[in-house]
Amino acid sequence: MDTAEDHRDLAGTWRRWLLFAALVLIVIGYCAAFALFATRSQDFVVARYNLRALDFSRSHVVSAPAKLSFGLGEPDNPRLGGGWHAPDSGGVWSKTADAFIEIVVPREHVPLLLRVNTTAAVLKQRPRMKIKAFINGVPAGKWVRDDSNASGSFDLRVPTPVADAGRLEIRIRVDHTASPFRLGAGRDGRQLGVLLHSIELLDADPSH
Amino acid sequence: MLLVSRAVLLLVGLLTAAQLAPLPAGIDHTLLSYLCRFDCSWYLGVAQHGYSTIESSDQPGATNLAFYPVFPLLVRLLSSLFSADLFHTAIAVSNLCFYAALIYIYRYARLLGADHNAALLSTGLLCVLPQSIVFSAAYSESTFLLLLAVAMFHLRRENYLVAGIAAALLSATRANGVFFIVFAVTWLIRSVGVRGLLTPWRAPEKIVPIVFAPMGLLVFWGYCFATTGDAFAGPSSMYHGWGWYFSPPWEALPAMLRSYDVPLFSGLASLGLLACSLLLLRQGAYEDFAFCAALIVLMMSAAVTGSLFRYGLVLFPVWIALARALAPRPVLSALTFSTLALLNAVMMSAWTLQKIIAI
Repeated sequence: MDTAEDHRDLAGTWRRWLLFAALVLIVIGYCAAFALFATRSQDFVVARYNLRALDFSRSHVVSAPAKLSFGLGEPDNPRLGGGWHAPDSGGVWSKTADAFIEIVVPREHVPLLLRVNTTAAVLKQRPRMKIKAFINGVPAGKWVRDDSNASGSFDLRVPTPVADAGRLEIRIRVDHTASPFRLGAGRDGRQLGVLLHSIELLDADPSH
Repeated sequence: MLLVSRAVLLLVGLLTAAQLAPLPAGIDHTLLSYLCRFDCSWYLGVAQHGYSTIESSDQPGATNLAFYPVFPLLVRLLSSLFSADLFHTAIAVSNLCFYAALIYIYRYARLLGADHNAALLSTGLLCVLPQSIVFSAAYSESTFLLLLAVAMFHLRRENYLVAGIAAALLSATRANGVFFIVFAVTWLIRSVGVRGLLTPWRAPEKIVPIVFAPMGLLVFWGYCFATTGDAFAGPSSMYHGWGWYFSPPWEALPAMLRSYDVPLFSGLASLGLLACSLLLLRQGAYEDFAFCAALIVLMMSAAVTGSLFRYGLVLFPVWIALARALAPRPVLSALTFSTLALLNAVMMSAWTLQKIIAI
């Protein structure tokens, strides 16, 4: 009698541990899957807009000196990749932490300087905004904007090897976006990062 | 009650279309067409063509990846099985799920200690709550309601596997279904204590529903990752296409309350819902309260305030608590019931005319 009960207990214990091990494996699977998703996922809408912008820019190659303007009705809007709201008059607001612009320059080109004219969404409740810029994934500079310098330009010197292929993927990264309406600072309910007005392509070496 | 409420709502839709205002262009006038508004076409699109990254022409960034798969898959499966058209199958699935959910909710209310009248009143409330038309429309709300009721009921009855499977399907019906974990963890703490929660190997069957709950969501994320390279294609589409994002409730709620029109109503509705959910605490249903409170806070964090009414509808423990409080007071019950029914009729008119408040 005791032996039969012992066997049943043992079987029960084994079943319990087996179930526990299976559940632990499932949780490990979740963690692995989530880590993969979080590190490898790319916003598919942004990726698609980047491709569309690249297609346009490849067929509209631009040489320095030039000024690309953005905003309602501006012809350079199709160079905007993902991460932008619909254009407003005078510029276009970024809506995600990363916003992209695609520019294609001739393969043989002068050393380039990009002057990016922007206004940061600096609000009383979020008084400082950190901005970083990347060209083809390579850091090209970082700035801090506050009430005193919310509007202004920042210069990106394009490293020659980076621009050799002619394609410049400019990524503007902000540390936060903010909704003026949410923060009680206006009626605009959109998440806003920086308002991009224009980009000037300049010769970085004035001796040319 | 179910049939009467549905018939009255359709009649309201018919009268709205015939008497109050002409329907916007492109909306047909058949009786059942009143059950297809707003997101209906997205769900039918998924059921018919599967998922796609094609954007809506008038809504950049909006794709059907924002809609979770259980409801459209069920529609597609049953439509093929019975060789019926997708729209009518979707309506049938919604209504059958709603009917089954009401049965489960009645049983769940009894399990919580409600008497027959209170349990019946809670199902009645669900039929007359403003915007309850979504339970009969081609929407996923009734499927969600059924799965939530099944998961909660079977967890309380200690049928862990059934509760776990329902919870997994729940998170693949709407992403917020994953919050069932809050309910299950609170229930576990109440039944075996914190020590029991921290030593799950002693009774691993009790954590099956907790472990299973995120499965549906993760499987859908995996599908999105495999097909688009973006596991979070749903939230991406919601953000770019509908402007959905989350901000802390202490920012979002005051913004709703100092607003006007739909956001103000949404803010007030979520506060009212939170107030009603406090009844759950008084009635000792702590796990139900934890779940409902978590989802209400989530609602208060939403940047886009449309749809919040229907997100509150599925929190049936709140309606059970309200019914239990009202049941001993027949006059107050009748008054509440009539007021809600009247508001429901107003919302049905708004739904028929595709007004944003009913989205």
